[in-house]
Amino acid sequence: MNAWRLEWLRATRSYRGLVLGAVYVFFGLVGPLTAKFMPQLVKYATAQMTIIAPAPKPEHGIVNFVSQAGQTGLIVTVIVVAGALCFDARRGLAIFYRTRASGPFALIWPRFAAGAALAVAAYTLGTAAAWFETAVLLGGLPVVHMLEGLLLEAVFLVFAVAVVAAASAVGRSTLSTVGIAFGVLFLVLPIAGLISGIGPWMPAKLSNAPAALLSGTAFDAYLRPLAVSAVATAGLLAFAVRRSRRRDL
Amino acid sequence: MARIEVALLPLVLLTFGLAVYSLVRLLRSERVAYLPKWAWVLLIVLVIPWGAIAYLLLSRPTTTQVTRAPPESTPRKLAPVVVEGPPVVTTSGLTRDYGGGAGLFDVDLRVPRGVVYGLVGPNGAGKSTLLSILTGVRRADRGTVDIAAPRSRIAVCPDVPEFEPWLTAYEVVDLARFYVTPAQNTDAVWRALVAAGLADDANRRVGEFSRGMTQRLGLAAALVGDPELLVLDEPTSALDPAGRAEILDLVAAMRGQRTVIFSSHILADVQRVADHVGILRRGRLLYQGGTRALVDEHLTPSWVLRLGSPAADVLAKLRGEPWVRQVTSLDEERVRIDADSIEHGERGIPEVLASCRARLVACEPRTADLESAFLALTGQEDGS
Repeated sequence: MNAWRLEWLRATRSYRGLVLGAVYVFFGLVGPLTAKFMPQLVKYATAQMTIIAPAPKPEHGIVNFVSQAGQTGLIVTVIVVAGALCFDARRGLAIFYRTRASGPFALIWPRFAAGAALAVAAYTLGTAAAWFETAVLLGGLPVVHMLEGLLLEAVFLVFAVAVVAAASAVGRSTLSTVGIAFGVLFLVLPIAGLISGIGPWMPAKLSNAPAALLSGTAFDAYLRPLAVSAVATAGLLAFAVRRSRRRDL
Repeated sequence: MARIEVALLPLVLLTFGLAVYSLVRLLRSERVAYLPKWAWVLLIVLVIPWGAIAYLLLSRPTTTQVTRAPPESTPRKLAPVVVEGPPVVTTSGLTRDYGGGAGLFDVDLRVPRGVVYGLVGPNGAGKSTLLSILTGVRRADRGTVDIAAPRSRIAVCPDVPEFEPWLTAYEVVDLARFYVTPAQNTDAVWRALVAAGLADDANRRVGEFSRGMTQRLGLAAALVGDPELLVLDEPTSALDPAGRAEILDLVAAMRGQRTVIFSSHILADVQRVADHVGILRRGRLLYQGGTRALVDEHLTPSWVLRLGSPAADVLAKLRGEPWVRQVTSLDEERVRIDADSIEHGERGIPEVLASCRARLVACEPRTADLESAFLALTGQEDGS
């Protein structure tokens, strides 16, 4: 047994991996389907008026996937990762880990890395599913832009997991950790993104990148949030370790 | 149309696969969390796939066992350590003030190497705070802690041990081994499980364990690193009488081989295994020293003799003994003797009976236990 096998068992035996993968794959399969049948859905939903939906294009499949998975997938990711990172939530468990591990870093790092890897793997599966469905229903997608989008979204997910790590060092329980992480990811960052000047630097900009790249946005537009995300991820991890070290049980 | 079928097939497989998998897990599980089984079935069937996802994320079903044959292993005898030299644990003026009189104040603890040290006191006396500071999970406001053992050789078992419910007992102890002594092979894991009486349950998941078994597992996880200093917080609080006896025997057997500090509110347990004792009350250390010395110092040891012959001669002889504080005739056959020490009473009473050629039916020591000493000591404190 070692810390990495512990995380593997956590992902497989507690169904966290299955659940996260299923959520992203589900949206990957549903997104292009809804894009394909949007005109029919709109027609059935509104009998009183006529709404003309544009003819679906291949990029609409990915746009639907990103918009649906970006919300629900991120919510599930935060919950799943918080469950692992809140090792101080239960006193008996906290004593088991803290009196044996060499320090908070030895506890936080494997949980962060495994959580981030799980989130990225789940998102990649979802993207693969969306790509397959889009290719079957709507047509082919540009490979380079798809891979660039995947990379940028992966960086955002790693940043989101670091936010959860920092939140777990502030709020002791899983519930408070999830609350703080939601507040940062779904309130603070989007609001900060609206402020001109700092908006283009915000990591949240990356979350929409896979769809925006297919619509013609250049990869260069994401270099600044990419750099901010990388620096912020390291900073959040350092904050989590430092604060966790100073915490009494 | 064929393209749509190809596109729909993965979605159907995913959603129904999740639902079927969840239902199979649900039906095979003995119990599930949060909702009754029928409610989970409804949720899984009616809210595809979110019911299945909620079930997998929240329900924590308990049935699966990991099958692995335990390797042949024989308990290893512990290497004896020297019961001499400076104390293993020394604290000086240790204080943690929670406000309102709660906390720990100016505690000077000295735990000799190789002893079983019982830490006793009523609820809120500061036992857990003291142990938390000693083990480094809580900080003191002031004072010093000096532990003459490497950090990797200090093991802790809290009063309510908790573990990841999806790990087996073997994996929990192996995880403890990884953190504490990664160089050791897995034989150490089996030795610890055997010592804690969990060898037969090694491959069961911890989520299925009773409180008593979890407490044993906590002990096994503490023993796997062969610690020099073992800190046990209320180790018998959740055990049945047989389990208590086993754990106490295990702790008693460690005397001279490792230093054990264990807190308990069950004074009989402390008296049974601890050769040193510290009494905490309202955050202050009222007494520390030998358990026997505590009983001797703070009690008037007394015995009730039931004689098979008239007690008059025995009464007269006892009244002439210098170690006898008081002799009381309870009735024609029974005599109560208060002695100045346990040792004098235990030696003197048989000598007096023998010299009087009295027939002894029974000799019962009275109130010479740690509980009485504790009450006497804390009573003095209240009175002062």
